[in-house]
Amino acid sequence: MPLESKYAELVTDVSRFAGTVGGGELVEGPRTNAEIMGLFDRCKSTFGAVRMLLHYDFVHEAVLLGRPLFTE
Amino acid sequence: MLAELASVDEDRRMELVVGWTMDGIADMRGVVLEAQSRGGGDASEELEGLGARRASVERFAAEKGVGTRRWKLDEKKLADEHGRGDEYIAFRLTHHFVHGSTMAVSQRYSKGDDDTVLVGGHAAALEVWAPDAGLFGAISLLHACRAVCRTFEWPEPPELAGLLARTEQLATERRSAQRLPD
Repeated sequence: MPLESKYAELVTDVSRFAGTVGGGELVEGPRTNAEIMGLFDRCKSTFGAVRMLLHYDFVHEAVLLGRPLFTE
Repeated sequence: MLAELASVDEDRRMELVVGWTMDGIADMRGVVLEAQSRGGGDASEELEGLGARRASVERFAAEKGVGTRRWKLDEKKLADEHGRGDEYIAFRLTHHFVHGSTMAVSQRYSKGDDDTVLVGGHAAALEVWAPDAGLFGAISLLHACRAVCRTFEWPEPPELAGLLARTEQLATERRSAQRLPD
């Protein structure tokens, strides 16, 4: 695996942490909040894919997903 | 985007999301029209659906008293405004991997000892990019977590600041030791 353990552990910790943010929260307010929550959920899911890709050595594909994560 | 949305009041936030939605609808309309012009058949139904969605968004905006001007993202400007300007170059580099430039393709091979080139497998530059992919994504996600906490007025989990500091420390170490691959 090309990812050193200190980076792999960080990626795992961040992914697990992010999974706890907003989980089960009831968000009220205007319907645009659904778009914001959807965007955040997409970020979490995309990072999950980065983590998985790095685990299986699809490194360049993981780099590719950094672009939407930065934008969003 | 999430950082910008968190930094403004609720009216402006609605306006930005409306503008982003309008931009998406306009782009989808272009896709549908192009499909139709390329022989994809009658797209009246799809266009009608997009028109209805647009009208619904416009009604919502009118009810809330916010504008419908399209929000076209400017990543460089947003990165500078939200303290991530130093990562903008990394963002530019990711474009090469997304679009498959010669720079990205050159990461798939390396020179052998003699007059040969080894392609793929162990010859691909993976180790050099793996930490950056993890760190770049981790910083983005942590900023996203911070932004949604601010937007929805959730208490920021205490672990967030520590994880962000740990990520930025590793990123700083990487930057100080790094140069672009040949």
